[in-house]
Amino acid sequence: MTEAELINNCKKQHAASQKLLYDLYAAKMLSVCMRYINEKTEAEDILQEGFIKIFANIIYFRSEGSFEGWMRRIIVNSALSALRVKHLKFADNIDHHLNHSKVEPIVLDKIGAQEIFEIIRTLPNGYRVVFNLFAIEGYSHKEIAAMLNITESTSRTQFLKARNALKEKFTTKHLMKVSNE
Amino acid sequence: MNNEENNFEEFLRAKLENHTVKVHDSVWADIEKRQKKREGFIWFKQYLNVFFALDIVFILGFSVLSTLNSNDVQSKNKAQNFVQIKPDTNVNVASSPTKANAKTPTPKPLDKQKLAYTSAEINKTTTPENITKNTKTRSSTKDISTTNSRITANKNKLIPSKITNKNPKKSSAPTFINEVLHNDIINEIKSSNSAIYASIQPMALHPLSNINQYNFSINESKEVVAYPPPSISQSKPKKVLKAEQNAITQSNKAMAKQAKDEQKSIANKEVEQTEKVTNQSKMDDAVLVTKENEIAPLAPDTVYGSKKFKGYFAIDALISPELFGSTFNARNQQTQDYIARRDSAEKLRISYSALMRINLFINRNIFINSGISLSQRTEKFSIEHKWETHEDYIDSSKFITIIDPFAGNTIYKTYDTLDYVRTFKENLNHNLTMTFIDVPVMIGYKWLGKRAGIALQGGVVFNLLFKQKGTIANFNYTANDVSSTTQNPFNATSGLSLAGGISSNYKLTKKIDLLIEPHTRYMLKPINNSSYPLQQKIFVYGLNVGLRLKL
Repeated sequence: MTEAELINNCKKQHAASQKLLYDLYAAKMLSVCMRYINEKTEAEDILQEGFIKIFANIIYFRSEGSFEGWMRRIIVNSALSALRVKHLKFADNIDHHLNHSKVEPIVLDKIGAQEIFEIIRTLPNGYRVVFNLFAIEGYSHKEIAAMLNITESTSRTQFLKARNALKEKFTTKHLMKVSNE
Repeated sequence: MNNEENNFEEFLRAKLENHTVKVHDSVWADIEKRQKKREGFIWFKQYLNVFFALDIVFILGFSVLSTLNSNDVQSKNKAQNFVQIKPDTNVNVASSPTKANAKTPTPKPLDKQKLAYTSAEINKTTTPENITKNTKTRSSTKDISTTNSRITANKNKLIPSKITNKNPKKSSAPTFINEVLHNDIINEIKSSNSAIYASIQPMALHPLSNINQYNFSINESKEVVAYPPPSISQSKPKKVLKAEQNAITQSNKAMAKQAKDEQKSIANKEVEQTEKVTNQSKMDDAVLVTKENEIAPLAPDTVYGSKKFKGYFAIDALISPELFGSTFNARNQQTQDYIARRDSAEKLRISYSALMRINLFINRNIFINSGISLSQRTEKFSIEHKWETHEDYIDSSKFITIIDPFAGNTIYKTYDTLDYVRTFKENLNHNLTMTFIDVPVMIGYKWLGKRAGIALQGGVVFNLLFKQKGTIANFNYTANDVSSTTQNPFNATSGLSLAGGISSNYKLTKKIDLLIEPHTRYMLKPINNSSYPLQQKIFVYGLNVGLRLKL
């Protein structure tokens, strides 16, 4: 079954196709959720909410763009709604500064997806959310500002700090690996 | 530098693109459960309009069927073709009712070709008492009993062979008409049955004839026979007389046979209706005569009961507490978030409406109504709005050195910066009062009880005026005063709505009913400007309580 057929069947609320769609994308979408929400059970709740929205709104999907991208946006929005309820704070951390750190390519090459995922999850909430939205999902700072009800400059600052923090964490991780070896 | 940063982000994106985390099995089970619940709700929500449409179709269908039934009854009555002749009309006839005829006095249309009335037809509602009364009304100076005795004498004298009534106690048949009514009978026969008149006319025109001397009889063989007096009979040649008499006799016999066959075939079909007519035959002053091609009025005794229903008007005054809700359609991400926040902030919404309307009850079941309604709905909630400002300061107390972790050399030395984030919070209050003036147009179908009734009604509501007052917490988290035209996102009218409900009434007095009506209404069109990113439709559930005054 092609993706288009699968989508069409889901539009007809075909239960088996919905299950197939879920099986295809659930794991990937849970990864997305967990980049925003640290608690796995909570992330699974978001995933559940997101899939309900996907099945409800799939009739509006016009096959003009990537279906996975469309799903991802819904999941991300669900996660952000949950974070809003929890009153996401973008508090400043004076340990992270706005200068530019550099990570050697050799460091990046040796870091796997799971490690990156885990490191991102260690970031403070504000940093993590803005970084994910900007760097991974590709939203602009203007869009992020509107989504999170913050100013554009806050979004930029949070992103820069998040990036620097990440780079430092990657470097540290790499050094730890090297020293262990 | 920028390229390096972009590479870093692209690297992360590429690495995380296919990253997966194992999902617990219970997630799909929960999704399935919620899907089932949602399907039920969605079905209800999506097909609410269809429900209303079906409701209207159902009511209209009943209306059409009812009208058809009504027409059917009327056409049947037309087919029966009853003509009521009042007591002062010119026909007074009586004959001996046979047993069968007394039980089922079948109304029967008259064929113009026939030369005879059947006694059964004529006797449907006629009793000897009626005749006496009618005769007295028509001619107070002459008593029918005397006439009858005279005619009976004539009968015995002239044509004893034609008199077949063997039970003189039951009636005086064959019945003869007194002299005063004689001309009227002739006229009546002339107008209704030219053939009979044709057979009588030559005798009446005889130079020696005296019309008063003719005797008319209706015997049990269902013949109307006009016999010339002996003087006329004697003045004609025997051959002519014989030929005339033979012609009349043969004609009458043929007609009687035909009438009898027809009567038998019709009798079975019309048993039900004749029972109703039997009840009606208690009308003392009416004599029913069948006559073709005349439109008779609807028989008073119809399927609607013993009384003919007359349409009437009634005025209703109703007030209703209401619960209302809104469905939103977001056109961008920002409004989607706003809806989510608003949904969690907004709890119960209560409104009220007052309605004056006039009903027209077309028949016992179907009614239409229209009037004017005033309703007020208030939305009240508060959204917490947070924002922050950032101020960067150079922290001169702290000098930092950034060292390359691989090379070990110092990359950068600078004062540290402090980023002060100030968080602000405010509650955006939404307090909007919406006033609607509407004209509902409804059609309903009513089931009647002795004191109470229940009706199903549905229709449309036209909005005449839609006014707003107050402040709205806008989707961009600003408080807007809707009295300012530039900040008012609402339409001038709320457009068309579908409405329906169940109406129950309880008779308090002869003129006044108590009404209780659970009702619902759904707006078909959003109340906002089409350019506004948030489109809101309102639905209402309410309970009308009030009184009905029958006019």
